[in-house]
Formats: sequence, C-alpha cells, structure tokens
Amino acid sequence: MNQLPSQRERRRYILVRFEPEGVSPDPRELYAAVADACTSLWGDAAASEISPSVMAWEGQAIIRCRRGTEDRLATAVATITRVGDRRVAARTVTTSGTLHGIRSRPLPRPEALWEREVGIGGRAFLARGYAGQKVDLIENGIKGQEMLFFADEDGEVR
Amino acid sequence: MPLIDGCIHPWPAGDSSLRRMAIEARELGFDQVVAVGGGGDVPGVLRGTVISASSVKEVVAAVQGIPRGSGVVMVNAGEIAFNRAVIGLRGVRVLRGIHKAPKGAFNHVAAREAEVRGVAVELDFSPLVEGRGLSRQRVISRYRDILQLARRYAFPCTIASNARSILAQRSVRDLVLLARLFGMEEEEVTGALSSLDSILAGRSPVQVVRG
Repeated sequence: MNQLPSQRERRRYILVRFEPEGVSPDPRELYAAVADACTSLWGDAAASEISPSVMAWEGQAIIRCRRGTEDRLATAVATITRVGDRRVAARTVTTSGTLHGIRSRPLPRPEALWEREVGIGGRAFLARGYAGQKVDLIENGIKGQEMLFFADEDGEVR
Repeated sequence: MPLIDGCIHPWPAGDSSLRRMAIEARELGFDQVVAVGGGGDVPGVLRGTVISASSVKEVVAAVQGIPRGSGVVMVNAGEIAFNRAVIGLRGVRVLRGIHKAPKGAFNHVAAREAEVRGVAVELDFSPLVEGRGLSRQRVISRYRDILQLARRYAFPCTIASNARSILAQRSVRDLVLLARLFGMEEEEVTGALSSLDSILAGRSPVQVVRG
C-alpha cells in the first residue's frame, strides 16, 4: 500500500568507504557482513529496528537505516573486519537524511599512480602506488594472495 | 592536547609498515601513535616497549634494561598482587591487557595507587572490534568496571587500537561510538586519547581534581 510522503518512515543514509584502496565488495556479501555485525553487536531485536539495507559500488557503499538508529549502525559498521573472504576496513564518511544529499558527496575513486614488481623476503609482490604516499603490495601467485601495506619512503618498496 | 593511539604493532609484527600506519592514523584523526617495533624515524610516532613477565622480578630486570626516556613502557597485567607491584615500579607508564587478566585483577586499591603514581590503564579496543559473542561481552563488562573505578579514583586511562594492520585501525569517531558500548562519554574518550601526553610530560605539582 502506498503511503503519503509525510506518513513514510524516516530513514538515514550512511556513506561508507572501504580499504584497501580499489576493493569493491559484492553487495550481497556486504549486506551479510552488515547484518551480521548489527545482530552480533546489538542483538536480533535491535538489528530489526535498525533494518539495514545496502547499495554498494566501486569501493563505496550507502547503508540505509531507520532514523534514530544511525549511531548504532555506524558502531556496528566499525566492527566489520571481513566482507566475504576479504579482509576490509569500513570507514564511515558521512550521514545524510536523503539519498540525494549523500549522492551529492561522491568520493574520488582511488586510481593507482604506478605499478611495479618488488620482492620482499623472497616473495614477489605487485606494488601499486596511490596518492598520499600509500603503496599496497599484492602477493603474486594463485594461492593465498597476501596483502601488505607500505609507504613510498619505506626501503622495501624503493 | 594531541590525540594518541596508545599502541600499534607495525611490520614485521603486522602487515603494514610504521610509516603507512602513521599516515593512516593521521587520516583517521590522530596526532600521534605509540608503536611497538617497526623501523625508521617517523614523525608523529612515539616508541613503546611491552614487557610480558610472570613475576615482578622479571619486570624490574626488563625495566632496568630500558634506557630512561626511551618511550612508553607498558606491562601486561596479571594477578592483583602483580599489578599492584608493577604500578609501584619506577618507569612503568601503562598497565595493559587488563581485559585478559583474571577478574578482580584491578580493584580500588590498585586504582588509588595508579592515580598516585600516574600509571595509566590501557583500554584495548581490538577485542571490541574483532571479538564476537561472549568474549566481547566479557570485555565490555570489564571495561565498564574499569570506567567506574576511573571515574571514582581519577587514574588515567589510555585507548589503544593494538592494530597490526591499517585495516584494524579505527577513526577517533569510531572509537567514541565503540566506547559508548561500556558507557564512556565522548569527553572521557578524548581525555583518554590525550592522557599519554601528560603522563610522559610528568605530573604537575598543582593538580585540579573534580569533586
């Protein structure tokens, strides 16, 4: 049943970005991670009150919740350490009352400035340099691609 | 007052270099971090040493081996008698890992001594972020008890991410939200984040105590 706009439930939208740079979580896996974090931290009743839903794309996501529960959702988001099999950090950027408001604040997509092969401890890594002197290293190989996080000035990546 | 992450563990203990973790900490709202291990001279980084010992004698020997003024000396907590003795040692700045210590390992007597000696109790936020279920509930309950003692006896607390990766570091705002889980107010969080600065600077002869 359609409701008048004034009778609809009020929502809040939280913009979240993900690290490592360039990671794009699958929306379904992200929803599972958010729902699990909310349930684990606040319990089933409070999680249903928060009622999170997720829209995700290229390293960012908008998570919707009921108005008044945004702090509880942001706390739960801070406890997310994995999405699917990937280790990630979810950083809350801003909160808005409208989808339009939050979409007007797009985050720049992090582009790798350079790439090269480096060796650390006898292992080969693909090094990707990002703005802010950040260098992400992805282990070459099929099995267990470990990631390391260094900076431009670190001797290991020079 | 600078906001300080009380303890991080960079490469090779973790997967992120000290420089990278310092960059990340700045972006997350911190002014300084205390690093245990990691190489190089990095701006905004204080050096820390963790002493893990089963007897007070071992702690005394370890503290004597550390040059004075070489950073923050932290000791892993144990039984109540051990903790009280450690708090009384010269050079020890932080009692850490209180959530892993047995129940009753930090009581009102230890709290009073910590206040007198200016030794801080570290609140490790990594079990709040990474823990689930009963283990996290226990940590929240323990921190609530510590907070009650801190409010009553005014000993300093520090807050540490104990991150071994940039992915485990959290922003100041996230820490404020997580601290609400055990009833810590925003002012108390910022006070705890900046407490190391005054602990390292030494105690002022004049102290203002809120009644």
